[in-house]
Amino acid sequence: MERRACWLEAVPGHPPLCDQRRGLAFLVYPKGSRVTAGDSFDGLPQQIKRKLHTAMDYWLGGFDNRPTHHHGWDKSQFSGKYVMLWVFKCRDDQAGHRLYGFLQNPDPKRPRLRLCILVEYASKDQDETDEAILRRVESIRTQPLVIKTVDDYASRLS
Amino acid sequence: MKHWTEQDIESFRYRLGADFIEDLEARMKALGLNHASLAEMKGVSQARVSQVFNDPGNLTLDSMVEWTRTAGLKVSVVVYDDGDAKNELGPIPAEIFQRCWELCGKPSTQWQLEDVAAGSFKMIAGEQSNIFFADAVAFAGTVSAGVAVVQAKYSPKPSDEGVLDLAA
Repeated sequence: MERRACWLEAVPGHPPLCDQRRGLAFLVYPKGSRVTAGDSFDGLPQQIKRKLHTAMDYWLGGFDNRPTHHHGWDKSQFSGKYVMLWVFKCRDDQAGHRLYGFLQNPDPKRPRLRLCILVEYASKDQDETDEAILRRVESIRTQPLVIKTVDDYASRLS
Repeated sequence: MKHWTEQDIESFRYRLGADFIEDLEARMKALGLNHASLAEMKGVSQARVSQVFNDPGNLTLDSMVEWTRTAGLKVSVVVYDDGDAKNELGPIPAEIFQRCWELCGKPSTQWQLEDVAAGSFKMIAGEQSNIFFADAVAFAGTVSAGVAVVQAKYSPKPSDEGVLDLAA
């Protein structure tokens, strides 16, 4: 059996591809110690999961102007280094919860298609973005192995 | 694969509540209201408002009516059939219904709705709109539900001069 270094798993409870435009998946990368999104999400309390699921629903449905639930970073932020990154967020009484990932269009023939690959979970109190997390996610996004993994996954989506 | 809201009734209720809060906050913003002003209008602390808004899974129909009426708004419950009986796609966000209703010129009676269907709806600017435009097919079967906050009063632009012809 082929042993893969990393692979993608659809986020449970969401269609792999919504309206042929947007899809969500967890990156599973056993050797990437900071690739924590999938496992961390599994272990979150039900209430937090519901909040993050709701944020994912809004993004999948094209409701882009909901920055309390999800957002990216534009060219004016961090010198435009992280324009392909995305975060889903919510908070409870104790802390904020974040799922960081990156966007990729794996099919140039379908310019509207966007996959969001979730990479890292973080629990934090401050509102300011921790650039170290963005740097890590960006470095994973640009790895040839990860790019190929996303392309292969996308080719299996209808 | 089933949508996460199919897991249990609390999950579905949470999504409805979250949509309701999302809609309510958007309507409040349009009216220049915030948590502090809503708290003052309702006679509760701002912390209480934040608590309710941060925990939409605990909303009840009574509390939805209370919060919307406090803000001078209305709420409707919509039953619809989106052809997704197994709930693989999740609830349709309330904002979709809200915007469809607005795009149709906010019909508030069966006759206005028939005019919309006939493509000749004329809306009287400033008229009260107090029902929600629901998919008529929904009468045939009820598999899902949505909750939408409705801004009850149409605010005409100065150029509207009384009548807006949506068919034009």
